[in-house]
Parts: sequence; structure tokens; C-alpha cells
Amino acid sequence: MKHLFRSVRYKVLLFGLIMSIIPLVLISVYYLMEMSDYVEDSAAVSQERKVEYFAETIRNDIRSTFQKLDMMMSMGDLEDQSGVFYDLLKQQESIDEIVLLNAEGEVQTRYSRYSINQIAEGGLWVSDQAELSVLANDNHVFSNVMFNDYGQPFIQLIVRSEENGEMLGVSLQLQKLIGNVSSYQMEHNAQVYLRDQNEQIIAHQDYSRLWQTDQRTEVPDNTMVIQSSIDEVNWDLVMEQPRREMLSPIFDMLRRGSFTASFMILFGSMISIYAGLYFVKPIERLQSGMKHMQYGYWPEKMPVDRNDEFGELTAAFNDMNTEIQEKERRLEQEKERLDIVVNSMDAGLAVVKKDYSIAWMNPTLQSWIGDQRSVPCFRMFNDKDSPCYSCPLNESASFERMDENLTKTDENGEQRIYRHRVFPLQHTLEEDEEVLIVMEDITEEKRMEEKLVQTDKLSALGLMASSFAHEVNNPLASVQVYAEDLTDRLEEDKEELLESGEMADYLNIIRKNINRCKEITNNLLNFSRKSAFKAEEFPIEKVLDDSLMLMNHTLKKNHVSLKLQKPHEKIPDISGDPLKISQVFVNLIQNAVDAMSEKEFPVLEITVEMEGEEAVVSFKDNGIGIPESNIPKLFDPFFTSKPTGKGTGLGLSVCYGIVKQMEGTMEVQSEPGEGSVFRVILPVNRKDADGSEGESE
Amino acid sequence: MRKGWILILIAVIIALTAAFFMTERAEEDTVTIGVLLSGENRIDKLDGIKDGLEELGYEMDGISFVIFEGEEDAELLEPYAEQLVIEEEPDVIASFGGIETQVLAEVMEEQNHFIPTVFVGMAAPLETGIIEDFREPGGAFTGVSNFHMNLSAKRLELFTEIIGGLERVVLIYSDDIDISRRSLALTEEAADALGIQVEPFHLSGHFDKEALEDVLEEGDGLMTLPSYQVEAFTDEIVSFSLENSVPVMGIYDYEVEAGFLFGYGSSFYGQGFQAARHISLILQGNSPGDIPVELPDQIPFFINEEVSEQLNLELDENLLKLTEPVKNGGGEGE
Repeated sequence: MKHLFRSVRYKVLLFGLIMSIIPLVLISVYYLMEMSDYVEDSAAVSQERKVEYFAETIRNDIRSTFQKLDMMMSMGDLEDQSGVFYDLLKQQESIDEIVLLNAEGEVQTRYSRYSINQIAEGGLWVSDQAELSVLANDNHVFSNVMFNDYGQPFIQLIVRSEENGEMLGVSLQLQKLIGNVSSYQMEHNAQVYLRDQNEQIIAHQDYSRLWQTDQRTEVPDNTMVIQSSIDEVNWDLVMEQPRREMLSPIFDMLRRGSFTASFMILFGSMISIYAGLYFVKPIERLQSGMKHMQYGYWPEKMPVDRNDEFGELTAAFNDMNTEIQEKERRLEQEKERLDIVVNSMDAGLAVVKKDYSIAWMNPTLQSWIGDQRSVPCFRMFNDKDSPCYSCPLNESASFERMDENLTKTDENGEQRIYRHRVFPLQHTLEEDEEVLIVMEDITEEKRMEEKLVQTDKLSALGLMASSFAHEVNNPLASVQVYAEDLTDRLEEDKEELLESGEMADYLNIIRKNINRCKEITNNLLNFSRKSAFKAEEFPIEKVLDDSLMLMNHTLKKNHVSLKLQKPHEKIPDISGDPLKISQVFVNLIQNAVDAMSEKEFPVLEITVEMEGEEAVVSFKDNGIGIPESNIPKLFDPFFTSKPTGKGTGLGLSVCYGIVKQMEGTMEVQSEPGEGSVFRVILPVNRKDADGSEGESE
Repeated sequence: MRKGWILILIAVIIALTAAFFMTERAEEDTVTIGVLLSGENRIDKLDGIKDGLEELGYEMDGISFVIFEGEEDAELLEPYAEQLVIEEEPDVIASFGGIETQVLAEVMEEQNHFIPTVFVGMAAPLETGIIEDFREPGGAFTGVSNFHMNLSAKRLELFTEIIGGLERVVLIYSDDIDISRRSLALTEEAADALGIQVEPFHLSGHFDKEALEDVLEEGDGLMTLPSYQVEAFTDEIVSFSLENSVPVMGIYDYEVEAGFLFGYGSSFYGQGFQAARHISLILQGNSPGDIPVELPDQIPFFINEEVSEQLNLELDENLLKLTEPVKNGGGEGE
């Protein structure tokens, strides 16, 4: 029930009903209370007026008859003026007959309405002679109510002439007067009756009470009595009405008012309900549509059958519905595509929460590390017990992203290398801070890179083979000469040789040359050794010197002038693999020598310097230079501008890979015909640099 | 849910409407008044009743009339009376003349089923035994006696008095109608008293013009006596009067309108208007036996001035003061 009254529909309906009922009820009650007083008063006034109207009618009838008789009497000589009598008969319809009497009451002339005017012989017109004696004192006299041969009630009115004692008399029929009073339809049980001077009821609505004497001394309780006297004949006109009946119009009005109010309330309620439903229906439809959407069912397009705001709202809802459906379809398409891409890609993807737990991972990653989401990511991906230093989730650091190679031992005990990139997700809730981890298994790539480096080395070794032979051959030749000379001297004067100390000098020279050979072969062995990337700190100048030693013969052979420029201060150590950097330097020197092969005065300038936090080693030649179109392709594998059989094309791409591996970079500047400058830029070890600086100070 | 509410509301409205109209009907107290009349020429009485009832405070919406008209054929009245008494059973019956009242009395007697009846203009209710007494009629009948039977003497007096040179009056009556015969006797008696010559002329099935011409002499006047058969030949009598330049004294206003020179008697409309009082008294619960039979409230003396000029008669100036000129429709002013 409470739920019902929470809904807008029932609130609107309730409001409508209250607004329909309360004003009507209040107005009705006020109206009925006001009207009931008015009706009660006006009912009494109305009844009084009716009684007075009837009484006045009777008074007028009698009064006017007396007046006319007086007028006639004043005319004199009436016996010869029949027209006057006929005129009165015509004017006064209630007069049955008019008679002219002499002073004794005998009929002189008679004009009758119903019978011939013949006068009965010997009869007196007035039955009660006492009336005539009254006339002596009063010129007007009236009789009791009498009845004619046909039972018609009448009274006689007589006027007397003071001059000659003649009298004029009329028979005034009362049937119309009585009939009108008796038969008038009085409302609400009102009774009207007429009493003559003898208290005899001469008119009554109840004919059974007619001609009886009114002997009542008291009026019944709760009865309204209105009385009007007709003095001309000493009659009374009385109206009696029970008070309850008199108020019946009020009860009737109450009943009708109640019916009307009920109708109005019902009518108003129906209009309110209709209006309420009219306004609520579109809201409910929209609510229903929203619920469908909430539960994942797309509602049908709603009919827009109104032009008002609800119509606009419905149309907007339809548009929104269509747009959301369209967007969801597109989203599903995108998701499907993304799923396919994510599930089919070789890279492993994972979403890691703030607490390093794994929220999601793609199948590729699952196949690599298994589905162990509760294990922290650093343990899962890196065989570590603490978060990576540069991880964006690490609150102690403030790295925006991470791109590192991590190693993990797989279930077969084989160590795998993964490129581990971490991207913070921007659109996540604050408490659900998450990062996307992209892992690529680069174990095979690394192996391939090693192979390429080795291949490059072997290629360089091939090129350096004659130089090696020369380098080794010279000390060996010295050894051979000193050994042969020593052998000859031992046969000639063995003792002198020992005593003079020449023997020791010879052997010392032989030993030095053998050491020199040993050093050369050691360098060669070092260079040619196949080794995995091994990070260590080393001085860059030493590596440059070793590389120049390897290339010494080649430079001499090609008559290259070498200008080596080093800074006065010590260059801080570089973190990386010195052998691989040596391979880079050898490659760059060899390329410079090749570029200057046709130059008359080939000059190679090697500069070692610091630029900010980086050590820069530049190799500048004055060779043929590189066409501008080739510069973007220089570091592509197998790209070479050398004649077939002279270059493998691996050189620069391998060099670039090695420098990048050490987080450095390579730059090229070249002018065709003028020469080229290759710059190897490597980050220095800051700790070492600080230490050095501390030391230098 | 919503349909349920609508059904409940409709049901309440219907119930309220029904209750309202039932109480209204109960309060209205609609009454039915049966009407029996021999011919259409008496229909003015119905207008008089309606106006009379309205004058007495009735509203016509609450009164329905069931009317049976005999189309001037006396034989049709009986079945109509039976239908009215037995089938319709109205609250009160208004019979529009002597013949209608007598037929109704016979039917009620036969059926032993009495319905309060008000006769609206009857010539001789006492003589025909319809009532016992004018003042206390007894039985189921009361009403207005038109007094036309007795009034014939007065009419003869007025007719001969207003036309000074009238030597003889031919009395047109219906010998087979009781009232007409009685009226003739009273008229002849009055003629003796007044010293006037009269000549009866019987008229029933058809208007015998030649026979009337044979009876008529120079200086004669014609006077009709109460008879519905004579009433039916009003137009023929008018034509005869004008052809032979003979004045006619009739009873009703419509006869004077049609071309009679004079008419003295209560009009149909006046009788109806007066009878409304009796109907009202009965509807208020009085027994017809207690309600006195009344004589006409009004007995106008109609004159057709056009006919008077046409006949070029010398009329008594004094008596002319009693007359009431009738022109076209003039009789309806009652």
C-alpha cells in the first residue's frame, strides 16, 4: 500500500480527487446552510402572500359590489334604466340577480342571470327582516351564507337609499370564491379555509369539513397559522401548515443539492482521473521503457501521439533509445574486434590493480604464466618479491610508464625474456587504479639478435683476418730472427752470450714479442667470443683504445690519418657490455675506412666528449658521404651501399640494436662527397659520475 | 486496475441517477386524467381544464391525459368508456357532456367499477339521475352543470327582448334526446309566461332545409335547444339563417363565431376552466360525492356584430350592454 502512494499516478489521482471533492463539499455545505435560512423565511412570506392574495380577492369582490350598488342607487329612477342593471350583470360575473326593492322590501324590478325576470308574487326578497332593520343604521348589510335551489351558496348584499328608502340587492354566488380557495393546490400539506361570521367553514380543501362550525380552541403544535380578516363581511381566511411540511423545500433542496454535489464530485473526479492518467500515462510509459533498458531489453519504439512536452520527451526517448542501441551494437562490434585482436595477439595483456593483483589477463598471458590472479604481478612476471622500481603503481616512484625487459623462469626451468611495458589506465575509478601491462616474449628475438651480432663479428673477423695475420706475423718474425740469431750465437760463443747478458736481452725481446702476440690474439679471441648480453660498468676510452688496436693494421694499410681527441677529465663509466660496444666501434671505424678508400688523404677524427649526462663518441671521416635518401634506411638490417661481397648489411643495424640495448642512441650527419659523422651517445652511470666528480674534487 | 475503477464509477453514477430519478418521480406524483368526448367540437373544454389546473398551481408536466373521442358517433362512446374505465383506470375522468357522462355511468354500473368523474358541462345531471343532489351529489360523479336545459327559458326571454319585432320563435331541438325534449318543455312554459309564440322543429339525422323553410314565417327567429345532434348542424343552420335573413339564438360562443346572431350559455372553454376546480379537489383526496355540482361561473351573452349588420335588425340598446361581441376567435378569450 505504501508503495502505491509513492507512485506519481496515485499522487496525481489523489490530488485530483481532493481538489474535486473538498471545494465542492465546502461550497455545497455553505450554500445549503445559507439557503436553508433564506428558504425558511421566504416560505413563510410566500404563504402569507398567498393568503393575503385570496383575502384581497374576496374583499375586492364584495367591496366593489357595494360600491357599484351605491353608484347605481345614487343615479335614481332605476326602474326605467334596465341598461344599468345589465351593465352590472356583465361587469360582476358573480352576481346571480339584481333586485330593486321598495322600502318594505318588496321586489320592484328583477334582473336574473339564470331565469326569466318574472317577479314572484307576494314574496319578500330578504328572508331575514332583521337585516332590514340594520339597514336603518347602516346603509350596507349582508346576509348569512344561503343556498339556492341548485345548492349554490350565496349571500345577499343590500344597500339602501337614504332619500326614498329604496333598496338595491344582489345575490352574490360564492361557488367560484369557495371553489378557488378550496381547490388551489397548496404545497406541502398547507390547508386553507374560510370562516364566516358564525365560525362556519364556508370553504375548505377538505370538503368533508365544509359547512361545519370551527370549534377548535387551540392550534396544534408545530403548526404555522396565517390568518387574514375580511372585514367587509366579518369573515376570516386561515392557512394552517405543519412547520415540518413548510420546511420540506429545504429538505428537498438538501436532497437535490446532495445529488447534484455527488454528481459534480463524481464528474469532477472522473475528469481528475482522466486528466491524471492523461498526464501520468506517458511518464509511466517512459518509466516502463527505462526499466526495460535497465534490465537489458530494448523497448519498442513508443508512439508519439501528442504535440506537447510529453510528446517531445517521448520522441527524445525514442531517439536516445535508437542511439544507445546503435552505440551498443558498435561497442559490441568493437569489443568483438578487440577480443579477437587481444586473444589472437602474441603479446600478453593484463590489467593489474593498485594492490598488484591481476584483474584480467588475455589467453596468451594465461598460457605463459597460468591463471593465478591472486599472486602479485611482480612475482608472476619477474620472479621478484617486490614491485619493480619503475612501475607506475609504485607509490615511492613517480614513473608515468615502464618499459623494461624482465626475465622469468618458466615451468621447464628455462629462463625467458619478456618486454614488460606498463601503461596507466586513465579512465578508472580512483579506488580502482589500474594499469595495463603488455608483455612480449622476446626470448627468441634476443637469441636472434645474439646470432646477428655474432654473425656480424665473424664478418668483421673475416675482414680483419689479414690484419691479424700481419699484426701477429711481425712479432713472430722478430721472435724468429732473435731465436735464429740466438741459436747461432749459442753455437759460437755460448759463455760470452750468457756473461754479457745478451742472452737475457734476446730472451726479453722474444718474450715481449710473444706477449704482443698474446695480447693480439687475446683481443681477437675476446672480440670473436660469442657471449650473451652482460651488463657491467666500464670506461669508454679503454674500449675505444682496444678497438683502435684491433683496427690499427687496417688504418695503416689504408693510410688513414687518425685524430683522436679525448677530454682532459675522465669520462664516467658506461653501464653495458664493453665487448659489444667494441664491436660497434670496430664497425664504425671499418665503415669509415671503407668510405675513405678512394680518398688520397683519408682522415678519421675520433672525439670522445661529454654532452650533459651523456658520453658522446663521434667518428668523422672525409669519405664519399651518404646520399640523403639512404640516411633513413641506414639502420635497417641488410641495407648496404657497399659492393657485393664486401658488406653483409648487418653492421649498422646491429650497432643500433646494441646501442639501444644500452639505452643509448646513434645519430648520423652526412654530406655526399664531404664525409660523414656517426655519433654514439650513451648515458653515463650517474652514480659513477657523481663519485668521479667527488673524487676529482 | 484502471478498468475496474472506471466500472465502479460508472456503476455509482448509474445508481445515483436511478435513485435521483426514482425519488423525483415519487415526488412528482404524476396523475392521469381520462377524457371522454363525443366530438372534436368540444375540445375547447380540454384547453379550459389545462388552463384552469395551471391557474390552481398545477404543472402540466406532472399530468397526463388519456383522450377518447367519439367522432360524433354515440355508438363509439361505449367501447371507449369501457376501455377508459377498465383498462386505463385514470385517477379521474373528465366527461365532456351529458351523453358521455351517461355512457360512463352505465359502464361503471355494469362493471361495478367506479372512477371519480367530473362532468364538464352537463345540461341536466339531476334529471338524468347522475347525481342525487346538487349540493351533495353522492356517487362517483360531480362537475359543472351547464344549466343549458333550464337556461333555454332565459335565452327565449333575452332573444325576444333584444329584437323588439320578433313575432315568433322556431325552437330547433332533437326529439330523441331526453335533455332536448325537457328543454323544449321548459321553453314552451316560459313562452307562455312571457306571451311569446314558439314553434318546435325536430332535427336529428340530417338537416332538412325545406322542412325548416316550410315552418318559417316572416318575422320569425330561430333558437337551438341543447342537443349534440343539433350542435352537429351548426354550419347548416348558419347558412340557412343567412339565406333566409333570419336571426338565430344559440348557446355557445363557437356557434356565434360560425354565424349565429346570438349565443347565451357558458362556453366550452369556460366549462373546462371551471371543472378544473373539481378535478383538483378530487386529486387532493376529496370524494366526488362530497363536492357540490356547480352552475356556470360565467354565462356570457355573445353577439355576432357582422351578422347583426347583415340582418339589419333593430336591437334593444339596454340589453346590448349585456352582450359580448364575438369576432374571429373572440370566444377563446375566456
